[in-house]
Amino acid sequence: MEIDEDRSDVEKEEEEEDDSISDLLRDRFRLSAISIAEAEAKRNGMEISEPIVACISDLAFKYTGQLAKDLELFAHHAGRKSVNMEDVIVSAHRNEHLAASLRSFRNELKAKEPQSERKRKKGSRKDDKATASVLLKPDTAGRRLLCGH
Amino acid sequence: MAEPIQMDTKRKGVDKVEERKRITCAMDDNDTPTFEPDLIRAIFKHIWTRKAQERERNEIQNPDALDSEVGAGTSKKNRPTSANANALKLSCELLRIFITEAVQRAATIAEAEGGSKIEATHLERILPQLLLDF
Repeated sequence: MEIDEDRSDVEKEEEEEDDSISDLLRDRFRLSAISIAEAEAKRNGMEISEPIVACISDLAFKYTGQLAKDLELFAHHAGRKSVNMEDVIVSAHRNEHLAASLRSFRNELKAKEPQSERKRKKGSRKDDKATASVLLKPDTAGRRLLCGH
Repeated sequence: MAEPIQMDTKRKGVDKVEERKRITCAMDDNDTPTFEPDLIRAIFKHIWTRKAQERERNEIQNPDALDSEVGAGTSKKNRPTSANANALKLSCELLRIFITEAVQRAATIAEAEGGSKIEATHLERILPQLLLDF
């Protein structure tokens, strides 16, 4: 019995340590998420209230946890021990435009690897803008459906 | 006539903010903030190692149930999942799109209502479709 108790104490301590590490990671994640959200709002010429930014960054962190579990499942299902780009694309299967934009991003990454970087970078900028504008299309339609406009 | 002046002051504001961002956040080719792959790797690793530990514990508790399936590969089975570098970059992009989409969609709603600030009600309205899309 004593040994068991000792073990559980050690395990508890480990878990507490784990949580503090994840707190640090979560804060770092939130900082990045906040700057992404604020930059995007500025790009749209909009102000954004702080609680909303915090809320979006929290959402994104929870989505990251979900994503990690999905990716692990997909990789294991394919009999692999490591996650590759296809797993990430499969995880974005719910929206065709999102999957398409990730596919073009994957092609850029693939193209960058074996060849020289300069030529590809110029081309990729145009692609980025094109995919960004494509992305908004399904959502306006979806929102109209939802809100009854 | 008043419009261009307003635009100018806005742009100055953006520059200041972007200067600050450069210290705290990684940038991509287009100078927009994005996630650092290392940070995402650390978060994923954290979740995966915890899952691997859980799997290990479950096997210790009921070794008979999984014995026939797992066989000799038990030690390999408990190794946490890993991700390759490009998969992480792609995950960063996916997460970045998640945030930018949330902001853009809320901004469109705010604009339609004639406001210039994104508030809670705007986020509430776009949230269901956003979560269905991701």
